[in-house]
Amino acid sequence: MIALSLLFSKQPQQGSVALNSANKWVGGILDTQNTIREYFELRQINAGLLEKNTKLLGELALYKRGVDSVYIPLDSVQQEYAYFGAKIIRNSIHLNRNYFTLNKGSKDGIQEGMGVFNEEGAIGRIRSVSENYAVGFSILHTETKLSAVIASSGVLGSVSWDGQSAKQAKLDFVPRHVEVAVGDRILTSGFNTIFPPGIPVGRVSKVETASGNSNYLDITIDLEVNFSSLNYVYVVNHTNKEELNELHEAAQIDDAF
Amino acid sequence: MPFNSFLREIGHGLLFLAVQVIFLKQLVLFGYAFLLLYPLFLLLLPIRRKSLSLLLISFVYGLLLDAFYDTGGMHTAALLTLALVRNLWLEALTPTGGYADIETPHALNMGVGWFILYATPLLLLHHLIFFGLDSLGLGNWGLMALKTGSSLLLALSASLVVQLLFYSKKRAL
Repeated sequence: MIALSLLFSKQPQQGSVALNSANKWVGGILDTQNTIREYFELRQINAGLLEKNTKLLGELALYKRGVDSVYIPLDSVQQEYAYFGAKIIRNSIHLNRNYFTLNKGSKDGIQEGMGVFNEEGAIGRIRSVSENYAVGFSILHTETKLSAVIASSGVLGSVSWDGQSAKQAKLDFVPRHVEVAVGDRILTSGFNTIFPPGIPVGRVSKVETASGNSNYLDITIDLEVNFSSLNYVYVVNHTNKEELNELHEAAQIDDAF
Repeated sequence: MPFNSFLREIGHGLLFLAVQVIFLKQLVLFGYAFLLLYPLFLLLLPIRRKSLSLLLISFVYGLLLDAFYDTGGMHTAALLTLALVRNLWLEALTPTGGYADIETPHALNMGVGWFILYATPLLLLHHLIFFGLDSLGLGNWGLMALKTGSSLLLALSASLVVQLLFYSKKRAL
């Protein structure tokens, strides 16, 4: 009896991807539940969308051509990133390995490994996809590694989460000699195929010299995204992902998140 | 087991599951105290239920919960351990004269004091395994202990309230 139970209790640990909320039935129930909950958050959602629209209008103004300039179409430049809209129908923030579920799946073009963000900043990465739903792990996952840069100095680091607070994360691998100020913005680096460069991740809230012989600073950052109220998000696909990944693999570079 | 009570038990279990994944999952007090009420379903199964069927029930039940929580086996492992130990603990707690004709071990049948004695170690075990698996390999045991302790208190008090509100002396629900 004991052996039986041990066998049973060990197995689902390993095959954890098989049964999750990307499942058709589970996803369906969560979807309905979210539709109801959404009514209570409409005000907040509208405010977020308005903010994003304002930002986009500002950016659009930069691209508008003056009447007198000569326009040369840049047809050699290929669009590198493709974007999808989706909605988070389930999210957790209190465990050590937190996942979220999206209401879009392979049918809508979502694939494993795509990045997820909203108007506030980077959220996470798609982990597994079914026909209609997708599950991803957020920055609030203790195995997350997100390649990021410090905006003011351009120094590269890696964002990880220690499981303590849903509002804070760590920035690892920033060498001791780098000067980091509290309030510095942390952005995605774009050095891998998950996120385009320049998506906000957080702001530096505390800088300490790590104890012992460590060559790196101990940096705590306040995350930009409010993970406790996520609703509409964007999923981004790097259109040359396969090529880049193959190249990285050939060069034997471990691709961080 | 008569077909009727079989159906009632399934309905009972689905009700617990629905309440857990639709309402209680959203509720985490202060970011520490999870309200995991579903082990109560397993605790309140009839006293004479065989261990093997308890294990099977908790396996299926755990997998369903894991699917909704995206916790990949954590609920299953915790529930299976609970199921394994439950009958042994029930045996150890047998009152003088045995359980006689009492069918389910709920607080109204057995008394609040007895129920707390019955439920606390089992829930503690369940919560320890759940949160232990969650923080496996991370080393932040203080946080884990805090989560376990606060969730345990919440689960115990919720279990008592639910029983006092929704159960009658004769039979479950």
